[in-house]
Amino acid sequence: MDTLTHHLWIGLAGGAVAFAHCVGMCGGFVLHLSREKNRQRMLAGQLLWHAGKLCSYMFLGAVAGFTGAYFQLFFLRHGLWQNLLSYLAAAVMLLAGLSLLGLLPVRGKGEGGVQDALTTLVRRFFTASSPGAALAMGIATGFLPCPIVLAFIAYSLQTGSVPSGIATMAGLSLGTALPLLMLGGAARLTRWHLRSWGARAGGIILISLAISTALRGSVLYHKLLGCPPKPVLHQSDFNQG
Amino acid sequence: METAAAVRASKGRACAHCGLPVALPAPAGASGDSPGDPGDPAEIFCCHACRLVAMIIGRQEQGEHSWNLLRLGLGALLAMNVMMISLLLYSGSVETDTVPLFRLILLALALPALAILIPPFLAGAAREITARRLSLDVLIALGSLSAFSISAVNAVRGAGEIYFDTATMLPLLVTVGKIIEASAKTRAADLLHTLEALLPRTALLVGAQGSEEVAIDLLQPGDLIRVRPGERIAVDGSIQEGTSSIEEAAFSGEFLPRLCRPGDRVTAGTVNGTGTLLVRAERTGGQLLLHGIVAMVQDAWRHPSQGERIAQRAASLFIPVVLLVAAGSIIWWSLSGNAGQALLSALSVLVVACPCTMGIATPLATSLAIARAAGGGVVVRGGSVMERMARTDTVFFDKTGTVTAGFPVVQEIELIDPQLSEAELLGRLAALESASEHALGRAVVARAREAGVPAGLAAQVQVSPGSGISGMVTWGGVAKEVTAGTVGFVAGGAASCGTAGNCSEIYVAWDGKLRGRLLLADTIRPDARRCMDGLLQRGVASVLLSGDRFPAAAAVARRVGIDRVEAPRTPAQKLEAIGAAIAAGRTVAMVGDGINDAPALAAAHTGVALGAGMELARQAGNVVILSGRLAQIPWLISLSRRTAGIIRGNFAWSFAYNLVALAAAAAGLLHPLLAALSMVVSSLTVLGNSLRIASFPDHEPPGPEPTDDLPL
Repeated sequence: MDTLTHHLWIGLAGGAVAFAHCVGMCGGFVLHLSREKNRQRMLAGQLLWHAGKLCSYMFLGAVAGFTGAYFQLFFLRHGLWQNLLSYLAAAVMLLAGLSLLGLLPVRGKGEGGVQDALTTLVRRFFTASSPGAALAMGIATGFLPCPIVLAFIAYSLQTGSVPSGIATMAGLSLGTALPLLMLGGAARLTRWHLRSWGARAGGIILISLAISTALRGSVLYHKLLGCPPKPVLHQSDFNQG
Repeated sequence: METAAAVRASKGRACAHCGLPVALPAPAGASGDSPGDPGDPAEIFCCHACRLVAMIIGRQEQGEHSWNLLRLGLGALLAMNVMMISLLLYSGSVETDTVPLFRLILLALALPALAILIPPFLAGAAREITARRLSLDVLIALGSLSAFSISAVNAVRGAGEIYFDTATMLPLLVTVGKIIEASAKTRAADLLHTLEALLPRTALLVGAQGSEEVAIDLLQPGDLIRVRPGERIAVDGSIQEGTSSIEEAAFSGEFLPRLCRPGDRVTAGTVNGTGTLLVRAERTGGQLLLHGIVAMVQDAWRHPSQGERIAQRAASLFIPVVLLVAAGSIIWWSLSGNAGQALLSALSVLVVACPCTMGIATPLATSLAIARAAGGGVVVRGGSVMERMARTDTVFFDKTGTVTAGFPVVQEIELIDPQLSEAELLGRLAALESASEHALGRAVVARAREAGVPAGLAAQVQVSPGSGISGMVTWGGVAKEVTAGTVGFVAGGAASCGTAGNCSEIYVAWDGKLRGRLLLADTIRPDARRCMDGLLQRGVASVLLSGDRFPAAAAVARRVGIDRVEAPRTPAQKLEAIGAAIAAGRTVAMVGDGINDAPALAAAHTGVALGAGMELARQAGNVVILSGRLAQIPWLISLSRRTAGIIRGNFAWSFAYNLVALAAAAAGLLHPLLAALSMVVSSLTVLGNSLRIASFPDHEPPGPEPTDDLPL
């Protein structure tokens, strides 16, 4: 349970600190839902949107954790370096962080592709401001590509555990939910301003997380913490699979 | 409230969901994807995805739409939770003694999830079985219900495998995939809808009792419309009063605003600049050029290209192949003594097969390309035309009216009398020429208007065809007997040739003295050079095909960068030249103004007509460039080549994906869930690839041209 709490806090802290980026990116959704004049319906819409997003994040965390566990088992069976996954996850986080800092070449607008298809899908839900549309929009939003989400999926992957993956992504969702709920109304005024420095803050956080994840895979880190010299798989993983 | 798609659907055989035309008429009494309930045109669907999505999400009626979205959201929420708990169980993260409890929780979650997600598939399956056909709906319904039934029994009795995740995620993933497919398809109709959205809802009708704001549907030809600054023009007509610049970019692809004066024609959907205009309507309602373009594009969508026909044929052959592979998989695994794996493998084979990459992505790419071209002011009349345009390697150009503007303009004014001002010469001559219908006369009047020189008053005007014009002109309060024309006519001698090199001359005289001389010439279109350079960059040869003298044609060709000139050529010889190029294996396009060269346009693989007239568009080539800009030809070739490349890419991906995925599924390497996920990802890949056409960049705005307004 301690491990789960640890991952929950990492996700929560990541989400809370990266909230500026999230307000910039998801402020439009929150604003759209805030336009509902009936206060109760507006609140219900907001909660359903967050519930949908939370469920999508947890689902992604579970899949990433399961896949990570599968890969860890594969690497161990084949005698591959067990920390490869940590380095791969760190690389994804690093790339995501550099992307947010604007240090990676990114594709211009209007390039189409898969994101275009997903955006088209999400746009369909914008046509109505109903509880159903809010829930569907929240679920779909959870699957939209975003550097922070991708980085935490990579983190969940390297945990190699379904509960840890769920906890990490649930923490991320909760961490972003509170600021989004509070700042939803004010996002219209501030989102463009926040988007610029929010992206930079998010980038720095992801790079820090990438460095710490890469360090976790290093022998030095394990020696410093007095870890056993041989890799150990999660005790419960795949004992019934 | 009806949606645009529903409105379009009611006008013809268009899909009730995405608005794309349904290509083939439905056989009587048949049911399936394209035909809907007989007698209800709003229920026609172009594909399985659109029909399924319409059943799941419904149309845009607020209540139904919201309820269906809520159901879909709850279904997805439950299915994802089922999957999460299943993953916890698979990874052994649950204490052994609580596993039975978790299996019951899964049953409790999966039951409502399935109750929400499976009905559309059951309805579709019932429909297909009634029509004695087998489709994805039957397979999904069968697979999900079988997995759920086995799992429910095992969960209750506390032993055996459970597949609640498969039972719930399978319909969810397929639903999501189909929603994405159907959503992507609406993009083509959306692109066209943006053209229709250029029309304003109301217009200010000017009548005897004053002005009144009326809906544009109520306007009639002959009505006078007041267009205020910044407003969109509601009718096709001519300007009666006022001067303003008109922005036509969104409509014709022309970047620079056009300065319009009384007498100039305007088109509905364009944006008025800073001036106020009074416009007399010539075409209203359904007769508007804009509606004509939309109708032509919709008509083009109904004519499948060769690529689309191949894709449809491949998709229809694909289903029996998949069924054979599935049957083979069942037989193989059963003979191997693994009946459980036989069913799983067969289900994976059926789910992973992705005919949509062929059946939907290719028509979508073509439809998007045609709509994208229309958004740039180019009407392409069919997917086959777009395909041929991509293969074009030789473009023949007519000279007059195509590479050149087709009308003379004043190039130079020479004052022979040093005491005379240019304004007086132009003012007197413009007054005289106002009474003439001659092209040279119109050029003089236009020059005086441009220079802001007021024309005098002309009386007793006499026209001598082929020689000149004379009359009494009052300018600045002084009346003079003015004569204009060839030097012989003006000097009182015999008429002589009125040309100097490639220029035409007008001599002007009064009081028995020559006063001045004007040189006029046809001009090369401003973007002709850019067009030829663009074609050269794309490896397309350009040929000038002219009825004019060889030196004149060669001069034009040299100026615009065309290497090969065929002149002088009669209309019959032009046809021969095009026929010879086709016989030599070239793919030929002919560009003309559509008025004189209709036979040549028809003889080429692709006939490209320049001009904005609707009648011209209907009669002339199978590509119509409404703005008349030559620079759109290389742009269109690029667009068609990009489309062809994307279609080829889709085919290659589709072939490779299905080959690998079917083999993996048949070999038992692919779980049905991973198969469904692969199918969704594959759909997304090809649909996303096709959607790139919608964001094909605009052609570059015209820059300074070395040939601008220069005489031949």
